[in-house]
Amino acid sequence: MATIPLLANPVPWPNGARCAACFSFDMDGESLMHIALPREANKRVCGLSELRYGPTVAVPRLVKIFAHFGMKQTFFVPGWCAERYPAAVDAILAGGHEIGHHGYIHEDPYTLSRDDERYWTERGLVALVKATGKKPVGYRAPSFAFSENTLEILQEFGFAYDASLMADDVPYLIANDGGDLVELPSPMAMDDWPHYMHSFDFGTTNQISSPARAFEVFRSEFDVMWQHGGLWVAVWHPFISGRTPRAAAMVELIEYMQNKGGVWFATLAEIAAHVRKVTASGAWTPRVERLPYYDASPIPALSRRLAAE
Amino acid sequence: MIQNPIPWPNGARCAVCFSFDMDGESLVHLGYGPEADNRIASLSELRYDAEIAVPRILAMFQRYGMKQTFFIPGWCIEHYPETIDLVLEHGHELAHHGYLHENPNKLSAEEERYWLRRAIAAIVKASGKRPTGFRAPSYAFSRNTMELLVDEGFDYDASLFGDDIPYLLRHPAGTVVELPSHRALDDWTHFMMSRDFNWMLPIQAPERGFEVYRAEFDACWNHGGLWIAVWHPFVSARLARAEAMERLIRTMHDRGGVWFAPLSEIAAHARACMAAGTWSPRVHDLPYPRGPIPELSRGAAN
Repeated sequence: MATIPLLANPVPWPNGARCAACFSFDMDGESLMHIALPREANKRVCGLSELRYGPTVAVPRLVKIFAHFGMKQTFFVPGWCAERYPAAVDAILAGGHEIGHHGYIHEDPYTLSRDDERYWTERGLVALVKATGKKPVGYRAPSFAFSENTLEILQEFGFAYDASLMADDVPYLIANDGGDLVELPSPMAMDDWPHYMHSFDFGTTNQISSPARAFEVFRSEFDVMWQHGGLWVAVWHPFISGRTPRAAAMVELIEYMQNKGGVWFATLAEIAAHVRKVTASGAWTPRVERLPYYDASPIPALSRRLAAE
Repeated sequence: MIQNPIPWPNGARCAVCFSFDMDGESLVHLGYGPEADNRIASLSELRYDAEIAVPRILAMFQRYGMKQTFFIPGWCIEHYPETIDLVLEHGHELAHHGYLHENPNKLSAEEERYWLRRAIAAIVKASGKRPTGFRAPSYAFSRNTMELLVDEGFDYDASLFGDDIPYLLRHPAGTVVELPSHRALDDWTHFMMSRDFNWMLPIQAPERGFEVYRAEFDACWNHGGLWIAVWHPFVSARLARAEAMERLIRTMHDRGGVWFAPLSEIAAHARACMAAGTWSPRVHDLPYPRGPIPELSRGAAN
């Protein structure tokens, strides 16, 4: 196959690495159930048992796997989960991993007013500071629901990066008049939800792929990032991808990546810091996306169509 | 990968149970009530359960010398006495799966108790003894289920997903052994398609579904886990899938070190290990506090 460079703007990764990789995990725990079904969460014992598997069974397993390979990675933890699962938080920190912000109780910013979004973001931040002893520098919006207000709120609280968006294969900057933030993007194919998640409680009834099928997708994403100098960020969930057969497939993938060589495994905080460093030194120029994308919705071009409705 | 592996009998690497939920037409009656008799194609698909699929499964289990577990709603027990006799003659466990596959998440405690008892009575009448195991219809284990199971003297439940090996559910009134499985091991997600149930997933080839089951089995075998199929005779014992099932059983037997047992024996083994002090399960307290958690109201104290 012709080796046509597919990335317009590959990043100079540290030590000449071919690509950067982060297995990032969103430890949502039962927050998903409480937010989806607040009044009857406690009667959905089976769904809760599936979610509790994350912090109680899967997180210690993932920490052990990362320790085996000498990797430091990133866990996004809703504040409520940090309060409820101090042992899981301690295990993550003891492994040297990063803890990022993921809302307070997995609230969906699309459904919130600006004031409410700010309230829950601050509350999640306070919970993480209390649980970890320091301010998180990274954010991933619950359900990827980065809203029209999210950038300003992240700037107000001094975040260094976001990892919720999908506009490129390499880091880029999201900017407004108030400044910019590093964006560490990943596509939906890198999320474990579409491959494995099936829940009556959430009305998500995807077919469940075998680990081999799902990892075919994850590995093809990796191969192309390795070939072209991109960024590979897994958006996985301990209660889904930390289940035994999938964790075993993850071990195989890590071995595959390490054998291939030239992979920079890092926390997202380290990747964001590297982006700032090579930008400051002039070694690389990131693409900049200005937010908001549009002055208003609906856009004026739709007016004729909307008038006809 | 498993933090507190359980010592399986005779040094086995893992425990396996092909458990079947023989729901029969209960699903159509529950879903359609007075309209059920009009849905003849779906009824035919479900009658395949007792009439065709269960005898086929029993013959296969007999060929491989396996005793396994059948969860059968009380109504189905009453309507298919010959099938039930056949299951019992072959030495398999008959366990509780509601009376008419009613969903406990939608019932009051009183109603849930009524249906639970009615199905126990059906099992006692058919088998001469009370069931020791329960699987909630649609996995809908409710806030009241735990207490009801303790009250009725159940030894184990097989509806939850919270671990890879048995764990213990604890209530002020008593304990129940949880034998967890997972949706990846349910045949519904791989093979079920029904317009009447508004369930429109594409149907996988047997190879694809069994690829998932086999990956689950490989990991169980490597790490000392518990592998519980949650299958339905009318889904998984159709001809092409029954062939794939036999291939999987043969793979498991050929690999060796697999303890095939009914779930009641697996639960009894877990209790025996606890009593002997050779293993400590993770313990989980139920029920959860009632109502929305206070943190959901904005402004609640941090």
